[in-house]
Amino acid sequence: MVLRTPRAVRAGTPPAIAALLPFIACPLTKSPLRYDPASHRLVNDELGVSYGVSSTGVPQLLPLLGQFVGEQPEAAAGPGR
Amino acid sequence: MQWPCVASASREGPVRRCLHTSAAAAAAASAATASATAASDGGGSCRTGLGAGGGEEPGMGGRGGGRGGGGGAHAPPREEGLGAVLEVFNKPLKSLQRDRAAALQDGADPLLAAISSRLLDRLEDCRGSFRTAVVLGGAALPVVRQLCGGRGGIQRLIVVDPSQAMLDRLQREEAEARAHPDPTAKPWPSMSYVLGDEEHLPLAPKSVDLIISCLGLHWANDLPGAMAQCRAALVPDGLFLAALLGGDTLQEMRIACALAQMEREGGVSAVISPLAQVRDAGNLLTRADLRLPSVDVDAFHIGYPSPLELVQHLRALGESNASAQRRHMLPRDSALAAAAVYQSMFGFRPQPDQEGEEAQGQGQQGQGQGRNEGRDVGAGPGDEAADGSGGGITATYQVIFMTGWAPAPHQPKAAKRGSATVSFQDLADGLVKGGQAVGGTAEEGIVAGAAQEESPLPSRRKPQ
Repeated sequence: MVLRTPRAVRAGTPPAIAALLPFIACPLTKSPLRYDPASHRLVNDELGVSYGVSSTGVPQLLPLLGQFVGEQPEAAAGPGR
Repeated sequence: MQWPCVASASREGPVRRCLHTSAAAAAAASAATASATAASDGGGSCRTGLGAGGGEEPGMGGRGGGRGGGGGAHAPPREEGLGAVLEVFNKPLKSLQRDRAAALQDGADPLLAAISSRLLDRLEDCRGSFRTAVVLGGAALPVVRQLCGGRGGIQRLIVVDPSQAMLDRLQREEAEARAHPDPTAKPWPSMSYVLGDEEHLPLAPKSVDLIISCLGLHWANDLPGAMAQCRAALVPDGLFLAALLGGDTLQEMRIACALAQMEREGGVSAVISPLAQVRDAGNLLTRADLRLPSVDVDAFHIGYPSPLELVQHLRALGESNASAQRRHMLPRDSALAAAAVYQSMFGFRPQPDQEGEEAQGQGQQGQGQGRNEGRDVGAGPGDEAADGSGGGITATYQVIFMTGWAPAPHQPKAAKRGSATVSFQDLADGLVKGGQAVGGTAEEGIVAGAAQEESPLPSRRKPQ
């Protein structure tokens, strides 16, 4: 089994998300995500896309629910709502 | 658009396989079949494929190679470039159906319990322990319940599902189980929930030890791509377990609807979504580079009091049709005719010898009871008539179980061709001489070695 080296986690990350971060990735490029406590979103720096986290702590990692960093939140037309 | 398919099951094989292989051909993950896809031909090549009948079948084998693999691209190419160009299933609709199923599904549904228990049985055959496991959509509820108690060494369980309502339900059940701990019940592993799609798997590469998909992947547009992403997310020597519905599922409903539609409307349109064939399952696993593949098939025959309960059960399971090509309505005439055909062709009567003479007088009463008790009575796996008091119909669910391991250096591999050091002839001669076997050919007749006391063959032992 490959042991995953724990990445340094920022202070404002809720523990549930911090525990999940080694396992999840951006659904489009599979690159690691970073939790941004200011906007409560998971950010993929490579693409500049961020994904939301629901009020119950569930990361919404559907490709159509991603938003470009810096843009206005668009009306989410994706599934799963 | 009318499907060019007819009632007989054998001719429908090429249609389903064509969709399956053309979805595979359009997959981003595979470069092998890049040659064939002539999208301009569109559905036409699909139809000519059917017209040629048997001639197409060798060409349209599991690899989706060549001419037969292309075509069938009815939807315009998607601009986002996400996933397969060919959209067989309407994923947002499937997500809505799963939302509804989250509300309707019976926690103790016998069919799902049986399928998930058979799938998870395979964990007992594995010596390794899987610290982190992922459950992908499908019948997540029974799978999660059966993984309690540290089964398979699972300490963390991540549920990835495209439906928020299903995740909410799981969260509620977990909260209830933790709030009212039952000393006899097994403890839940530490759970995480992610809203995600199987075809765009939000898992980091080489991060999880076990991926389980119970009845989820048969709604994937790009099935080879989804499995390849699963393999990429597994650590070396990680396990991939999947159960999906196979081609013979709901065969009775397919036949009944086709006959009724032919009679009432003069044409036939598909009511069952395209499903994978058993012969393609092995290819799917090797194509996703999953080693030591194994494929099993099980058929579950479930009895229902009437076709209406069957449709209600399918809705509760979240298995309503979500094909992009489905018909959006079925006229009442056709629906009633289909139900009548189903009852007459695939119905069963209560067994008179089981009930004895009392049945004669109580037959009427028993029939009424059978109808009122609803689907709980009928839906028992393998049950013919649950309490023998009413007729009903059977439905078949063919489930394909697939197992594969992510590549790892120390896995057993087949030996290279030409690396043998012993010839079979020497082995055979040695056994014959030692009295453990009887050899010979047609020319020389039977050759038997010397009689031995300890020979496993009774005829070769020394007479005593």
